[in-house]
Amino acid sequence: MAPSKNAVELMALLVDEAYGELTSRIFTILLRRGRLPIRLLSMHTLLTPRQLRHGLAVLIQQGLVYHNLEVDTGTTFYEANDDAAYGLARAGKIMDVAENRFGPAARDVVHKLFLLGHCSVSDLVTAYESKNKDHANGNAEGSSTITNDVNGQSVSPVDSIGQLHSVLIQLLDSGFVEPVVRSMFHSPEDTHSMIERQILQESFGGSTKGAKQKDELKLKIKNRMNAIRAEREWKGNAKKRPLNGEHINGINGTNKRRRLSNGSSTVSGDPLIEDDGSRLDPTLVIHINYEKCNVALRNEALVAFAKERIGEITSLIFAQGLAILEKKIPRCRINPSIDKVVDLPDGPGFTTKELTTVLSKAVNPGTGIGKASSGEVNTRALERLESRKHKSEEVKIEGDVSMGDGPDEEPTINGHTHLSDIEDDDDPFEEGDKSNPAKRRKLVTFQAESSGDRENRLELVKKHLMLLATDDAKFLRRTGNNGYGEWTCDFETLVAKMQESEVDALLLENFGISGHRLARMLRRLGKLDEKTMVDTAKLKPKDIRTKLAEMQMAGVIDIQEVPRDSNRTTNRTIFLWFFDEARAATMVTEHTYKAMSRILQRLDIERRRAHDVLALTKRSDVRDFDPEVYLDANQLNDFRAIDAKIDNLLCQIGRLDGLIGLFQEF
Amino acid sequence: MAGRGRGRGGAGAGAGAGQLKGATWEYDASIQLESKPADLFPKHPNLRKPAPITTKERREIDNFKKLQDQIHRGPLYTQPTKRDPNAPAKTFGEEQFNKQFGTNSKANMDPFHGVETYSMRYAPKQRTLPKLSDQPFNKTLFPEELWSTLEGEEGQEVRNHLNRAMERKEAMLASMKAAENGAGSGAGNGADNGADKGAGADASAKTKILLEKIHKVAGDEDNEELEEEQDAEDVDDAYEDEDLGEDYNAEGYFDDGEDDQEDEADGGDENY
Repeated sequence: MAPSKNAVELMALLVDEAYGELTSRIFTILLRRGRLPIRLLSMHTLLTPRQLRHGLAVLIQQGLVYHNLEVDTGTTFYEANDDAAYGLARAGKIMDVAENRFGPAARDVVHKLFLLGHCSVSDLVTAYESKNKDHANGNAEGSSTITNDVNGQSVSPVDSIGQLHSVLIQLLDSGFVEPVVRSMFHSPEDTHSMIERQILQESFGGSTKGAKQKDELKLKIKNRMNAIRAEREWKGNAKKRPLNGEHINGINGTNKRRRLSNGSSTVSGDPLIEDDGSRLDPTLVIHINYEKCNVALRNEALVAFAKERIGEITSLIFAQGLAILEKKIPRCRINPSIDKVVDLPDGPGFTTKELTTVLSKAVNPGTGIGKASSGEVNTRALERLESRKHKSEEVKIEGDVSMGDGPDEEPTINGHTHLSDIEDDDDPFEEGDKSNPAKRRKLVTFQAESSGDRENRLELVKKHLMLLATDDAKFLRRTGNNGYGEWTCDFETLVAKMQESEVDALLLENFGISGHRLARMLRRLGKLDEKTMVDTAKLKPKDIRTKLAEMQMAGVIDIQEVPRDSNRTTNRTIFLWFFDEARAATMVTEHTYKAMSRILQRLDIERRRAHDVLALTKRSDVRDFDPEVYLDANQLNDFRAIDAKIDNLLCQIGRLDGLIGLFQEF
Repeated sequence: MAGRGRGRGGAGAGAGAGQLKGATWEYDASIQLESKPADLFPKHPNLRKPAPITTKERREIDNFKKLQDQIHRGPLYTQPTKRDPNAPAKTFGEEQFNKQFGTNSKANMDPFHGVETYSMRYAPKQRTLPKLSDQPFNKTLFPEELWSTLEGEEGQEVRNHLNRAMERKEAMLASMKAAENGAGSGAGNGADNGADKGAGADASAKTKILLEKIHKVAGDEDNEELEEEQDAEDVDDAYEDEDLGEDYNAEGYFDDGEDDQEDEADGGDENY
């Protein structure tokens, strides 16, 4: 799918922001024109071939451009990789995810990988060696060196080369970093056509005849592409100690959480990942795997959604469950041209027992759920296993249910969601909680290490999981009874639900309560004419008409004419209003792309306005110091003002990126 | 527009000169002119202060800024060459898009701020070409036509080219020197022997210094990084080897001027 106009603009700006003008000019033309050889690129960009070769080398190094040598003509074609370009906007988030999972050392390694593009392990080692040396020199020269490091640490979190190897192995195991092979530099289309040609030559003698052979060819191509992708995957290291990753993962998770509440005091003193003696092949070339990073980001988004809907403790348990699943999910969306679309009975799952064992002790499953009397809760229905067969029906029913209890769960606006306090979650279960303070007290104080503690913990965790499964968003689905219940997560429906709630929030924000109500009504009931809507929505016809026109102008809803006779006269025509969710989603995406490019342009302007101060901080003699040391009061004020502005703009980009993720990638 | 056109037509056909659709030039004391300023652009209906930055977002932003700072300091970043940074960001078509970038930084130099001063010695280096020699590359992952660029062989070519040009200059100067020497010895036979001798020695000394200078420059060029030679190469692109010789050939200079121009135009076409 070719990227839209807004997407092109955004990506050009992102590349410009990261790697400068030369690369951005080349990239823009490649995005607009598709694949081109250097000769034509030179024609369209008015750059000299020498400049182009340098620019392309940078772009290839950073994985932003595919290249393919056409053997017949001997020309090399270059093609833009838009996913990687968009990934530039996510760099900060990906580094944060890496830090959450594997500690500051991993963040630093990911940072280096972003900096270097794809690189071999030995190059990375060299980079670290030289960096450590620099640090040593810096310390020797002046003891009062204050680095402008994020965490205020003067030493890099990676102390030794052994530790670097261990961190890399962990990142490779988890899939955040993947080995690079030459076939990755071919665009998906090129790979496809190459394989097609090969298979045609090998098995069909040049061309296919009839539909049957064509299907056969398609299947063969699919198999071959699947095989190529499987080849790329990291096979693990024989020297690795078993169960290492899982164990450390759990520990790090808790450490992260504790750090979150404490503020930014990092535990740089005790590196979380130690040198376990394993070494990687120094010639192995690696880069960051955006697909896997998206899976991690999706999990974060889902957990935030669960926290907003249910509560913090439940969301933490959900996060742990998703972390188990994450290892089995290489990418968010399956690619129909590569993956076999087999109707799997269930996706990857986990059992309550598994989850409870890895769940950190800091999470107390006893809290967060209130207790209603057994008469009020019907758990019988929950115990029943749901099969995926009825999924399509499920989706419809789900829509109904959400309509039913719409008013009492006002969706929060994007950006404000983080603010929603856990305490005043108007969850029905919480209500029951408050009415029974005595029981709650009992649950909370249930801390003693009795013999039944483990069993109880299991039961409590299971309750949280059931709560997740019964939510309208269907966070989890029960698939079996082994190990106190097996659970899986239907990401597609869940993400669809999230999208719906996000669109709802936007509608409420932009068109008020009545517009929101009309859109939801249209979503539930399908196409409606104005009269029905007046009755159902309980609004005045005049209000409805203006509202509908307003929403149509914005492109949210649209009208369909159904003539009652062949004349198509206005009074003999039925006008039906409808709300198309897919269209609303693309609209949101497009607007978000546009907003992001505007923010980047604004960022550029703000930087230029404050150029005097910023130029001072970029001077090579002071750039490693804290601006407070060398700027005078006025300059410092100016610097703080521009810094805050830049931060706010970048923050907004991050939030908008959340929307893009939700509607495009997850 | 249409309304105005009609009005003018009406005036022409109607009451005659000086009247425009009922409006006259005569003084009217009771006339009320609207002097109220136009309304401002209406306020955005939905402006809200965004939520404050959370700790998680703060970390993400810091990560991002740090990474970007490092990339900008690194060898792969290229500085903008926009002619007018304040021009609107929106462009229509490739031609306009390409026009906004300066191709020759020296021609577009700002005479007031562009001259390097002492205080600018710490300013970050302006780079229009990425410095590929500062970064490790895995050659096998790049298309073959870029290999020479990655290895800096291209730079070597430029260097050879420059060296050749320098050699030629040197040879030319040497021949000039020989001619001068010949002239000096010829003049030495004249009356003012001592003075002429001094002049001859002067001239030969000057040539020597000049030659040394040229040698020095050539030597420096060898040590310089690729990007430094880019400018030189840009200049050289326009004049081919032969042209370089012609420029110093004073006799042939004006005769071949037209050919030079044609050559240049051809070169331009090749580039575009």
